Amino acid sequence: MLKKFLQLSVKQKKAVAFLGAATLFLAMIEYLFPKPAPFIRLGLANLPLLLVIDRINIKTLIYLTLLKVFGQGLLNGTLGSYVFLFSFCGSFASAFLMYSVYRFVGKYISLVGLSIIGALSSNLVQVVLSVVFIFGPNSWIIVPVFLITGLVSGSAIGFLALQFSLHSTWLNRLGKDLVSV
Amino acid sequence: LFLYNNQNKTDYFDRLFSPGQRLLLGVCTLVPFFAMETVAMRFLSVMLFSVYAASAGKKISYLYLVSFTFSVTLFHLLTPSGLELFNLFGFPVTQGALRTGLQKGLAMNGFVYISLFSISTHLRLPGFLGSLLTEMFFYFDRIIEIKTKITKGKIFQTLDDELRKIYEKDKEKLQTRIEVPTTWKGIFFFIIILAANGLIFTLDLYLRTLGIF
Repeated sequence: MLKKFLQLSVKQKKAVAFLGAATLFLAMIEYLFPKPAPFIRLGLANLPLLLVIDRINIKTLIYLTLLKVFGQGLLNGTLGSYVFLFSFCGSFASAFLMYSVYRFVGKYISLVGLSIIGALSSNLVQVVLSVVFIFGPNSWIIVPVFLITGLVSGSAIGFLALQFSLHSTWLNRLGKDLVSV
Repeated sequence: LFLYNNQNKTDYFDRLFSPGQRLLLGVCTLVPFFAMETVAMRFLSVMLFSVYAASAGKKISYLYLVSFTFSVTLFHLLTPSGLELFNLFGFPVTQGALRTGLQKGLAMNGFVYISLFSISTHLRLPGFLGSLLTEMFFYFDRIIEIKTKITKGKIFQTLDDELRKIYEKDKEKLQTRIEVPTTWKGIFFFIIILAANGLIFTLDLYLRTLGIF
């Protein structure tokens, strides 16, 4: 039963793999920009998930998030390090929260709002992990910095997603495959 | 924290080891490194791992290593523990906090470097997720090949057109990489790396018996 649940159709598999590739590509683009501090990032890699949030189901969401974290881990070589743990937990928290919010109050929230929720949840989870595993209890003082950067980067990514989704024909084509059985 | 492959650098580890054996080497170096307790030996190991990671074609930023270790240590110093070493502008720098901060900061960097040289891009994960990852890397290769001139004001449209073209094009046969077996040179380096790691661990044990941390 679980095996049947985890199966994807050929079209779904292609769409998820392509979105995963787009995620990796955007992560690579983000890498090219200088960062003001080691832990501060824009979160461009969240863009593909945000674009298909209205067409994705729980199964494709899990696969896409797994592709994102394992793909980055393999490409960066960080699969066996704490970076992977941070990326794994942050990505899953963000993906599930965005998905749940969209399912329950999707009518009342824009892509910008969803993106902010995703960025904040990912940042908060990473702060908790850094408190527990790396910096110790004193690192709670960096929470306001993380929340502000999450708010700014989440808004920027949400706005980009909104603009792209309005004009994209590729997204419509991929979206059809994503919901195919 | 993205630490991508530098496209211009050669991955010498890929020439010597198969992805599986490379992973095994990483696991074997990880265990003694985890058990080390002296700051000096842990630092020596991290330096050695950074050389391995650079040989594996990865870009190493020593500035990042220093700033990360410094910030971890700084946060630990906020909670004084043990003997007070000195006072910096009214702020007590304690031995226990300094040691724990340095050990933790170096450990985290060491884990990253181990991961950088032991994980190959060609490492294939088993099962459905493995095949999905292979398909993803196939499309990723196609996407990074996009070389279109982006017209000012038409960024989204140009990008959308390119993505649609790649997506609609029939998927060519996925390239399956023939795994390079570990060479004799690879076995030699495998032993050398483990021996160097073992030697540092022995020194760590010796320093501990002398009460030096």
